[in-house]
Amino acid sequence: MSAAPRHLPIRWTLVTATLCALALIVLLRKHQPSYEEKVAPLTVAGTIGAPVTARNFEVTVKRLKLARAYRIDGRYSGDPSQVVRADGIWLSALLEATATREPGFLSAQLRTRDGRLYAASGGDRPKLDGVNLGETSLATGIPASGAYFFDVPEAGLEGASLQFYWGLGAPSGLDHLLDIDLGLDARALAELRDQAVPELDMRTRTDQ
Amino acid sequence: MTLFDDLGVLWRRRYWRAAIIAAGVATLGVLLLGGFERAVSAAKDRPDSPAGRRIETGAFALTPLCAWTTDLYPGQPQGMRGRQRFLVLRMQVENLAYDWLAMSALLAKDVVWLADGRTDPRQPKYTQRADDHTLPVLQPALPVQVDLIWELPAGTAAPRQPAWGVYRRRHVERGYLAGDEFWVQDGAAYRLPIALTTQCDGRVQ
Repeated sequence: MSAAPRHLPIRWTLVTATLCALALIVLLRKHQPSYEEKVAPLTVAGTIGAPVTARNFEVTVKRLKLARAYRIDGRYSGDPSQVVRADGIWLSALLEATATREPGFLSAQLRTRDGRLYAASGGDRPKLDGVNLGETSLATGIPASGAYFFDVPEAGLEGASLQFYWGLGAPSGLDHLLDIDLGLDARALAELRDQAVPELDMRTRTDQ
Repeated sequence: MTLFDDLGVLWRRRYWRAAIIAAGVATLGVLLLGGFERAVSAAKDRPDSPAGRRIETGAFALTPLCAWTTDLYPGQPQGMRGRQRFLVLRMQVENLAYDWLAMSALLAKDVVWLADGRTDPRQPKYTQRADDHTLPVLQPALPVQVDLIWELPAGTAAPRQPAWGVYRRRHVERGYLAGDEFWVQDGAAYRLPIALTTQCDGRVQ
């Protein structure tokens, strides 16, 4: 019977395998998708002029308009009209939207080519009841016609896309995010600029 | 037995000799690293920035325009006049982030009135656009004039040159716990001493 060895032999293959496993764990940990990426909204692509359907709504963007300012009704009857100027330029997207399953809010944002996100203006800027769909609750099954208004830098318009999502605030995770290609190339933008007026009259009352 | 006799005895013992050498090396290291220098506070007074100068905080580019006190802040109904004194700071604000979300709320946390001129930071009670007094949506790369409004405590008068503090804000691309991205406040950046004015270009009261 041979004597037991005084020291345990170093099993280099085991050491190498352990180090490789640890390195792999670190590598995977560094490159694993973040929580935000795991629950990111599901993008649905669409184009202007065609209906696009999401989980709880359907949108058809019909046309776009540019304006430097809107002239709107005064706050109360008899008040003088107001001019709502853009910090950049007003882009309005005229559309029809329908909530298909449950009532609620449809939000919109503009995504520029460089990845900047611009929220649609709220319902009080410009305050155009029945036209500005920002922060307007949609009833189930009843199409709403109107517009979303975006105050954006003019230089960011080329190549921008329009995004829609259900609910207020940020797009919800694991829900649909419509991404509508607006076809805003240099020629389309030039046409929009030609049609733009410095001040678009949106008044509805005659007492001002 | 004197101290040096003791040291001599200790030096002859192997472990004590190693301990003495280690203590000497450690002391030398502390000395070389400046451990025996007089400690001074790392905190410094933040630089003052006057009205009209653009400053960047990481998340925002801010240009303070003017400040005034009033008993009716812009856009407040006339019937409310005289019930409360307000301190208003008008700034041009540019959002340097790529997203609009939550930036307005962050601005209200980053610009504080220093009630005693240096400390006692207070967040604004209201934040609104300067032109139509609606809630500001701070869109990226689109400068906008914003009014920040504080209620003045009853019975106190604002100093002729009140001061505001501005915090830095740093973007974290990927947080450790959830891997999410966010903006975190990153210490004081500027102090804005701004004289109260009676006229402010484009002010609507």
